[in-house]
Amino acid sequence: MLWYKAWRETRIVTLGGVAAMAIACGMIVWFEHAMRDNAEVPMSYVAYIWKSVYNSIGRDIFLFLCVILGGGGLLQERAQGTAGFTLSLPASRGQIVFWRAVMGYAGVVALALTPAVVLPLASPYRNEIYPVSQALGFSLLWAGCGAVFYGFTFLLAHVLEGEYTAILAAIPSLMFYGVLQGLPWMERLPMLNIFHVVNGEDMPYFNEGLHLLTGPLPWLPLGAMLVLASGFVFAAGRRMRLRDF
Amino acid sequence: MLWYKAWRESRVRFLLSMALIAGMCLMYCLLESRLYPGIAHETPRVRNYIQYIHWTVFGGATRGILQLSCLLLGLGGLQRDRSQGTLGYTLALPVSRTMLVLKRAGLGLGQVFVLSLLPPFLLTGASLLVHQQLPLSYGLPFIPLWTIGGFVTFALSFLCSVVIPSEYGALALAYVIYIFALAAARHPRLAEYHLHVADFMSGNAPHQLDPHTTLWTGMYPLTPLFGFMAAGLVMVAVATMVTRRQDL
Repeated sequence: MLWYKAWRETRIVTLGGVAAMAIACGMIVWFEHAMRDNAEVPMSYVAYIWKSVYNSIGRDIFLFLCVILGGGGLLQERAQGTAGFTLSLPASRGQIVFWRAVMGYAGVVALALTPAVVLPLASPYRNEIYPVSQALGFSLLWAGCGAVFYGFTFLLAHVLEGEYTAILAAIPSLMFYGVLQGLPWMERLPMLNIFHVVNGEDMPYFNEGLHLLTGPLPWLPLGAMLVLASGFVFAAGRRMRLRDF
Repeated sequence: MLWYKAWRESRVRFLLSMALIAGMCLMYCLLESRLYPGIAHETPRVRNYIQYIHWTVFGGATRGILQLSCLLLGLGGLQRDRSQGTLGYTLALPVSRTMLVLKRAGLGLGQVFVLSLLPPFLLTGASLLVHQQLPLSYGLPFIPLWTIGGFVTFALSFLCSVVIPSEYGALALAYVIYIFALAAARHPRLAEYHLHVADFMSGNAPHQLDPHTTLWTGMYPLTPLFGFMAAGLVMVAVATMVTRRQDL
């Protein structure tokens, strides 16, 4: 039942996030004529979707919700005075952390898949087509990169006490990471730039002219991201094991 | 003492936000020699130090952090007291719910104002250390813009925190509404009203900053200033009304 407890804790953000993402994608599709007609540079429907969903509003909502989903955990329960009840359950602390991480990441995956469902279904209502394969490809990229954002905040939430402290520390840390990408030696390793991997910008698998995923997806970096995120969760679990409540 | 209660509840977030904004200002200023070439290379409009500071601080990532801080500062209140089991103590105080809400909102406005004060003064001083010049008169006009724009963001999450019982849910909702509002402000039918709060805070509403030099033109956006302030006050008023009638 630990998974159910974790689901109860994350469901508002998960379901609300999925709904918000679906509404955002739906509105982006619905207003495509008005936005494209007034754009400074004429663009195709596929380019408009990439710029609006995968390089702007949708991505921003997704990344921020990944961070929020990672913000819970035993330390936050301690602040609310419910940690004692959770720790008295007949389960190890490792199991509690594990199931919280799994259910939170399930929320990340649900968020990542939402555009892949909404965009291909909504586009025909505007007499447009958005390929399912493209939407699924971006969902995979989001799920892989989102794991790192989620895992990093998850670790912070198990290290830093105080409500919202993990979120307030995670966002600037990730922005600082973004600033580091401007350094010359980092530019030589483009796959280290998660902000570009997540939407394909400047990546060999993304055609900037067509705004389509054309090459094979970066399976190795995506796998490495999942391993890194698992490492964050493992570190959070170890931290909780030694913690005196 | 209600001020003090509200301060105790929000001081960690506030002090952390102060440290973050100050840290970002100092980082962009003191590391200017390393960061400027990359930013100038990628951004055609950045051609001098003032444009670089505007791109990174007044109209860039630091402004984003201020808005995030405002979103976080707006959270809390009676719903959080309820989830922590301390609601009974708060409601037992010999004060009305209206006073509880208004004192918290007032402190929030003060905190946003203090956060807005940091960049102009810090950057003017730190620029001298790297042999650059940023006149204080350039940064000062941003203070009202950041304060009012930040207050709107604060009021949004303040209202969400009153309505949504889950704290993280309130934060998520506030952020999503904020993003939706920014997107809606870009819609061609609404674009002429200049409702984009981030543009307003950056001084990018029409006729404020010269788009070529990024210097002040001398015209100050008083109408949007009062408009955004009114929007923030309305949200606080709605939050007060909801709290008064809430069955807690």
